Amino acid sequence: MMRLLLPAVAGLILGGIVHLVTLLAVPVIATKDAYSRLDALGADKSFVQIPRGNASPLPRLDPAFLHFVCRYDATLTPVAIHVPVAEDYLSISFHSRDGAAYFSLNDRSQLAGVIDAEIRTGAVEQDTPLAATTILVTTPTPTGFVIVRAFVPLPSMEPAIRAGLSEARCQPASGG
Amino acid sequence: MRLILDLLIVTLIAAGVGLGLTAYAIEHPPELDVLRSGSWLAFPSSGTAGIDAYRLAALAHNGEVPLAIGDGIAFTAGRDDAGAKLRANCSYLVAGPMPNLRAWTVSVETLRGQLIDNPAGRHAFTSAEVLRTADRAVAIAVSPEPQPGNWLPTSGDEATQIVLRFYDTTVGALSGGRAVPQLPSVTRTGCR
Repeated sequence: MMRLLLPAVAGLILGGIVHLVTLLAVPVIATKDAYSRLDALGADKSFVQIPRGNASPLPRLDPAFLHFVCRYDATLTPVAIHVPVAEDYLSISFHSRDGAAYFSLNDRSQLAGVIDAEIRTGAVEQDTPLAATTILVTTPTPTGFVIVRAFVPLPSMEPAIRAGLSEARCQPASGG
Repeated sequence: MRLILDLLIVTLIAAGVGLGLTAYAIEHPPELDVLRSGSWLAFPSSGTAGIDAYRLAALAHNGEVPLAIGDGIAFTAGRDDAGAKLRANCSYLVAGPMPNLRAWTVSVETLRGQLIDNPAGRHAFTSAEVLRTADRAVAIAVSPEPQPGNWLPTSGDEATQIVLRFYDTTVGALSGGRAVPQLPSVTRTGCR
């Protein structure tokens, strides 16, 4: 039995390494992560409402909110985010490709009823000037997604809140 | 021959242990950064760029999106205050003072995150619509039986959890600088 001790110990140590490597690989290779699940919504370069309730491709969203999502690719050009804000609570969260939330804004950051932000990669961040009313967001990964969460205080307010957000934009920044 | 056998043993153990641990950890991520208040649990760092590798892997596997920390924080109760797991065929009362915030919600879901269909289409109560008692506390019944006042309907007999989401706040602001805020109690009032 002593003969097997060395291979067993070596196996356990190597197993620990395998565990760490595969754990770190999961967000990279997962085929049903949040970013991939948005394929079916066609939420590239524009905000699309995520279906409410159990029809949502993303589980565990707050049922009392409307959610709009946009996948971005800031590799070549920065991405301009434009979100109109009404009276009720609204937030914009920025997620990297692996789903981690790296930044968020809420309606307290509005100027004259809108929030304007521009997503840039670190490479272009310094190069081009930005309008004074636009919030600079530096993305850690070239691709990612933005979620707008709009609070629906009473169910009857849903149509008005949805209509207000039909003006939300998520597109390549013009003029850069 | 002996070397080949040893290498085979090493490889099998490494693959079994390594992949097994990863598969287990994705379903049951270790609670590395947890806030507890009564029956309620929250994972504040999961809404930050500093999310730990276990929780990030679990989120990616489930296709979930975390609530950003600057947005708000979600507390989840999978057990009542007596320590028993919540089930859809039992009735619970979520009662106590709520922090005075612009927006909070209470909802109920299965452990897999599915909402429970009901004829009223009621899946959550918000800070704006909930009926309050005189001292501004709330009492929300989570129950398969119709209840007076604030009623979150359930059905079936699956294991459930109650989710309390606070918006436009931080844990520090909620608790007045203490580590964890005082949250409502979760009491079982009966089972079908």
